Amino acid sequence: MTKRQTILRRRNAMNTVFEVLVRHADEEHAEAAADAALDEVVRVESVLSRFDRASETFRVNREAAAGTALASVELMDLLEACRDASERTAGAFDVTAVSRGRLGAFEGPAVEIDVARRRVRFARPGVFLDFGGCGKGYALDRAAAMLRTAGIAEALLHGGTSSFVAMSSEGGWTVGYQNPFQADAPVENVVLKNAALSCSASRPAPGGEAGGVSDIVVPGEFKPVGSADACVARAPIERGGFVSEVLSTALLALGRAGAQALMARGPYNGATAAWVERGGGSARLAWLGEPPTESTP
Amino acid sequence: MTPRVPPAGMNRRSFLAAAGASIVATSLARAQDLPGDEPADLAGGDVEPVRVAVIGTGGRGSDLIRRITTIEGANLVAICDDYAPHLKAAGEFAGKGARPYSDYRKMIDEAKPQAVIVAVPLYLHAPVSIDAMDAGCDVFCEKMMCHDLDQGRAMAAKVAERKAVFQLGLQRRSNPIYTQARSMIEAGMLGRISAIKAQWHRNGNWRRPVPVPRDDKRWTDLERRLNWRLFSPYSRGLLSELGSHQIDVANWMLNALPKRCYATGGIDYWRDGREVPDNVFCTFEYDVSPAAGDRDDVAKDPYTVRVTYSSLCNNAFEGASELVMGTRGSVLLTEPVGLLYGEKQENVGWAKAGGGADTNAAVVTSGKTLGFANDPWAHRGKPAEIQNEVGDPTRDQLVSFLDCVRRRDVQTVCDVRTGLLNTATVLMAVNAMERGTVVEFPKDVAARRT
Repeated sequence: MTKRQTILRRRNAMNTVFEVLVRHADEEHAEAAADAALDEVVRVESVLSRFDRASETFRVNREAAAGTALASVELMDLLEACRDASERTAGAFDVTAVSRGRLGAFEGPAVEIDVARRRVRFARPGVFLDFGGCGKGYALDRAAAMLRTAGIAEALLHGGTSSFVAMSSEGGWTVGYQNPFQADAPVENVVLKNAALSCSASRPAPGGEAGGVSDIVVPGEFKPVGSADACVARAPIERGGFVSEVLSTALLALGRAGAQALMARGPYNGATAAWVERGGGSARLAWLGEPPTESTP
Repeated sequence: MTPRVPPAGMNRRSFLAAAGASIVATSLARAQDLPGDEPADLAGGDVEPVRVAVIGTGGRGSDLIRRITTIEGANLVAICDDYAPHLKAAGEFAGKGARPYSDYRKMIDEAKPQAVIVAVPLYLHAPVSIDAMDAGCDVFCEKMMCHDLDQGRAMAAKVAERKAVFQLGLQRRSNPIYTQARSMIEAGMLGRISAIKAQWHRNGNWRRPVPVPRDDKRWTDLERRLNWRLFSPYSRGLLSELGSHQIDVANWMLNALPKRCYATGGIDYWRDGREVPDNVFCTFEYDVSPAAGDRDDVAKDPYTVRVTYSSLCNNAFEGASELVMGTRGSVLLTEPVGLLYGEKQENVGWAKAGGGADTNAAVVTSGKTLGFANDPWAHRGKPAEIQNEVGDPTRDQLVSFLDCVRRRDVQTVCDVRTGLLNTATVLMAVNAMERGTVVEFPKDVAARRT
């Protein structure tokens, strides 16, 4: 049997670096498949970026405050998944959170979507869609789908090292988890097999002051998470990039007690999550409920 | 729905406790009957609906399908591809209103589209477009327009015969950065255009993955079907698939056609069975008339502008751009931004030329130091930016096309004549490269220019 090669391809997208590791006997095919996967990430960015003037989200953000914007089938599907995610996380995941954080409290939903007619309307000027991490997760899911279509079974994909998707028909891929609060601490290894893993963290406040800095907004308070915390969420590979990003974002917004309560309700089948225990130098993952079976200490 | 905002005095913890007890209202809510036309059935709306079908649902076809579904009044009624996996994947973007077909003639017959978008491999652009026009459809055809000039002449004749609205997908023609640059050049802001340098450099094998192993008996067929860009019966390679965009920019910005072309290229890195070069270098010579902004003493004499173009598959330096170089300035054109650089050195203030009997004196000062930078282009100064403030040129070209369909306006932003001239220009380079000789612009096509 031909020896399998592992090739690595990299692309800048979504203001970070995406990488794809593909293991396959045919190196030329592996490269073509990895390129197709990264092309898909760039394509998704061209739909979801709120900074790219040519993107669909940029257009919807411009049009939906003044009237209704017509969304593509793809964007409406994603908005519907975001609405569903918001319900599953008791409102903690919110695709308008960044704009709501700026606008402060107001009554009623920020965005209305008419799914059948693919219409989007914002409640007021100043509201905008910002897919943030879940956009990255969605891009990884789409990229993984491109690899599957190409007949690739063994691949590891990540966006900015905070979100991973692992495809494997064998032993899986080992991902080291680094303490976000202490870079020289030993990493904790996690084995991922047909699963996605996402990490969300708020940075410690500058100058050694108490608290943290984050762009994740606390539901109901409409201001960023103020503590220095980190959590990871893990989901089965089907839509796993999106689901794990939704969960890690929502859990960080909720804080540890809220995260524990949410995970006790099982918001997504098969999804698990852990809080990062600080202290002692290492980053121990304290699973909120049962740890995933492939996890190794 | 209950507002998500916690009552006054309710802190994060109590809000979350309440949230944990039941599903709360979210920031993103479902609504019904938001104002606006029904995407799949537009009867009675403000915008006159146009029934649209897409033939060819690979990468580019899917890009266009996604855009079509965001355009008011575009009623996507059908999609077609004879490669089932592409058709299935595109169906996810097209929505339930678009019926899938594997035979485009059957699709046109049954779905009765008014406008057809043709995004099939290059060698099929002409037959599919002509069949669609014969069936009474208007046509938006992806670039390059056709594989050879006979096909192009037949397409132009059919457009004239059927009085069809026809547009070619050279989307830089719908990009406000490029249209603004064209106006600046016409107004003489860059002075006399001396040269254009364009390239599309990438580092990759330009292959689409074939979903079966190499020893599978289906591999050869799928390789040629999915990687048609790499095989000369179906494609003209880098020059047609990438270069046609940028070579059109040269024709457009110079408002001229090249007289001669020199070109070379080869398969020198990706020796994987492909039939088209993996690197190409061309020079086009345009004999042009003086334009606004020329010096008076040379204004009356025609002169030659040289345009160089290269495309690589093993080094991505410089990426994709077109640099239009004039005596007063240069404009570097890319799809997201244009950069305008002044040509003359900044006047640092020590020389005083002209002005009286004691002219051409220099002024002694205590010294002036120019800034140094690691940027090798720093001496050009900070460029002025031309931003694409609003819009997606790939979508906007379709908006414009559908508007022309509604108004029966055959003067699209990139009509069949522009497409034919573009094809002839690109094929000069293809032929020059294949024959190893200088190739002139075909006279009969040049005669169609006006």
